[in-house]
Amino acid sequence: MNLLAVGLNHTTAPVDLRERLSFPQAELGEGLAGLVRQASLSEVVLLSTCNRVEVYAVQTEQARPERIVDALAELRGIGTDLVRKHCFVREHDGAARHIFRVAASLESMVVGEPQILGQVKDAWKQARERQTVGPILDRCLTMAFRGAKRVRSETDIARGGASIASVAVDLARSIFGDLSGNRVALLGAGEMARHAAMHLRSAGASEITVVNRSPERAAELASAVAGRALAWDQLDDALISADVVIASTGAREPIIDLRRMKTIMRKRRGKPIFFVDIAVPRDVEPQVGELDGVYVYDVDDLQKLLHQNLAARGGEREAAGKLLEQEIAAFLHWQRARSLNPVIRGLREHAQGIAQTELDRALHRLGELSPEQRKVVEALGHAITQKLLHRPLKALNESALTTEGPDLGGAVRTLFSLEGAIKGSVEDSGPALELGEPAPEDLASFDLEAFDLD
Amino acid sequence: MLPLFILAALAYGAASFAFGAGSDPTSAIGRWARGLLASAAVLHVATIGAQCVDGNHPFKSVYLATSLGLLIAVVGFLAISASRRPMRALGAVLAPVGLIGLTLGVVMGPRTAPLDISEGLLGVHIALATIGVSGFTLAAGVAGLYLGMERRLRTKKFLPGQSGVSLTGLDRLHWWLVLLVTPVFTVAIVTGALTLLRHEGMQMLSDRGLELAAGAVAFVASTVSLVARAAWGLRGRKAAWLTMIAFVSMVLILVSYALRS
Repeated sequence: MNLLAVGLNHTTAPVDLRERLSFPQAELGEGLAGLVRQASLSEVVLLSTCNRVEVYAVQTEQARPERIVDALAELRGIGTDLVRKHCFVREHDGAARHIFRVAASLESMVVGEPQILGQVKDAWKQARERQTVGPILDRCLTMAFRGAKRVRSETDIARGGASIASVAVDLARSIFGDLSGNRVALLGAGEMARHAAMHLRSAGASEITVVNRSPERAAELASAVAGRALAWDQLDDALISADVVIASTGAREPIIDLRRMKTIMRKRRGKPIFFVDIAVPRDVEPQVGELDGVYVYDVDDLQKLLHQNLAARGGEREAAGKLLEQEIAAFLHWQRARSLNPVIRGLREHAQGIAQTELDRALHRLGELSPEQRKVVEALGHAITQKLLHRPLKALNESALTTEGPDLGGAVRTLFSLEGAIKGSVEDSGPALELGEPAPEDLASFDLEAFDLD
Repeated sequence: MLPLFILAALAYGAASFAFGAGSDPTSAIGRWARGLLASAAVLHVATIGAQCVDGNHPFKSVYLATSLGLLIAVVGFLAISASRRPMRALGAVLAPVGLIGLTLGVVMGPRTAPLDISEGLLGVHIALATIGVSGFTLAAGVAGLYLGMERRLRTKKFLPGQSGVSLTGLDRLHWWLVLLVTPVFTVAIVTGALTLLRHEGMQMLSDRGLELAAGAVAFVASTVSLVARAAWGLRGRKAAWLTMIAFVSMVLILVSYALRS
């Protein structure tokens, strides 16, 4: 069983290639089926977002990640060489680590952004619906989701806005608290104003008013943000009623000066107002910010806060990575223990088979025995088998805790010629060993069943 | 009583440390702060109860009344703060203030000359003044928080998400506290002046000039704050400073009382 993470993302491929390789929602099912078919995958999850197209897969045979890359290229009708050039491949532990880090947003363009966790969950649900998720990917992703939640709740990785608009919303929340019921005025009808208005709307702002010199553009933006348009000569009315003002006009001089704002503040009866001045040159005279109850943040102030937030998130990346390693280690233990289960079962059956054959032979040679005598002989055979296997099984169990050290599973397979015995049970290896459970110290009472938790 | 006092003092000390040291609300020590302060308040109540059993009820001296007043302020803080609105800075101020009140009540309270509260007016004055002290302490604390946060916002040194409470939330809370406390404190000033007038006659105008002036300033400041808000919408920074002025005046009255006793 080989766990693989293959694909391309914002660090490996340009945006035009990412766009061409991405799978629209409606084509995800087809993509999953194509990958299973063309790359001989036993499990697969396909994550397709604006920043990444990644395949998380399990191959039962020898790992051949290039088949996944080729399948991806073929499914999207892109040249294989081009895709290969920009694809990354992670295998085994590296693949698990990558999946966990992607879900926890440590590999995102903006570290700590919350959308990626939802996108990975959606990809996982899609794959489950199409039954392309098996025990390994299911376990891997559910543990990755748990790790991502821990990272968000136990570190400051997601603290503070990660865009100008979200910083402005955070500031508005600091001033007004819950934004539901707050009124927003947009001065100017630019793209930035629209973006900020959408953020404020989703944060709960109830009413959006657009004031622009061009009534047509005001009406257009108002309809886009489900607000209302006001004529330019009604600017003062908008300022009197608004709580948050986003100014982004192209005026060469400030349109809100101290004198005007003093009059407006009197009419507002001291109600606080927050100006987000993203216009260059500025729309709000700097002195306006000295008035009681008036808070003015221009684009430089917002940029500064944004950089602070991003730096803080970057600083938290290491702590988040360390925390995530605990979850990754837990998954890797589970996976290794799971892969050892057939070996343990095979070894036990092999030993018990030999013991039983030899017991039968001995009992036949001994002739008539009383039930007590028969019991003693059987117990002897059983005890010898148990004691002989105790240390090898214990060592196998402990070897699952680390990737370092020799491949004991492989060694046992070779030494006891278990390949044939194991083959049939690989697909049904059942739950993993419960690691960390102490092995019985008392050899006399030791039971082989303790090592097989099927 | 002594063991209760020691335990209460230790709890207040621990709460002060937790509020001060655990500036990060997610830190383990920060999470304990409110619990420790609540324990300290319970032990403070028990200490006052034990003092009452010994015959030292809260209105027997200025110090005992101050102890009760500051306890009420601490309880008020616990009531208005919450995990999503921690107001840790106010907690960091009130925890040591509670300790000072407790210590004053235990160490100084019984030793000072007992007040004659057999006279109804004096009893009413002390009771209302105690509530006034606690209310103004709390209101001044919230006003202080407001001023600090407002300043950081204005100077662009505020990092969003730093505080669990919004600026307008603090302003509203501050206004409610002043609205509730001002009438109580006004009646306390009037009953106090009447009591003095009855005992000392017009001579009290010169003898108690400082206390009367401070009382008048506190009254004017808090009343102006309320009236100006109703009439012209005065709020925010100016209203907070008016509360601070009223609070400082009230502290002056307390200090004057304490010096006399």
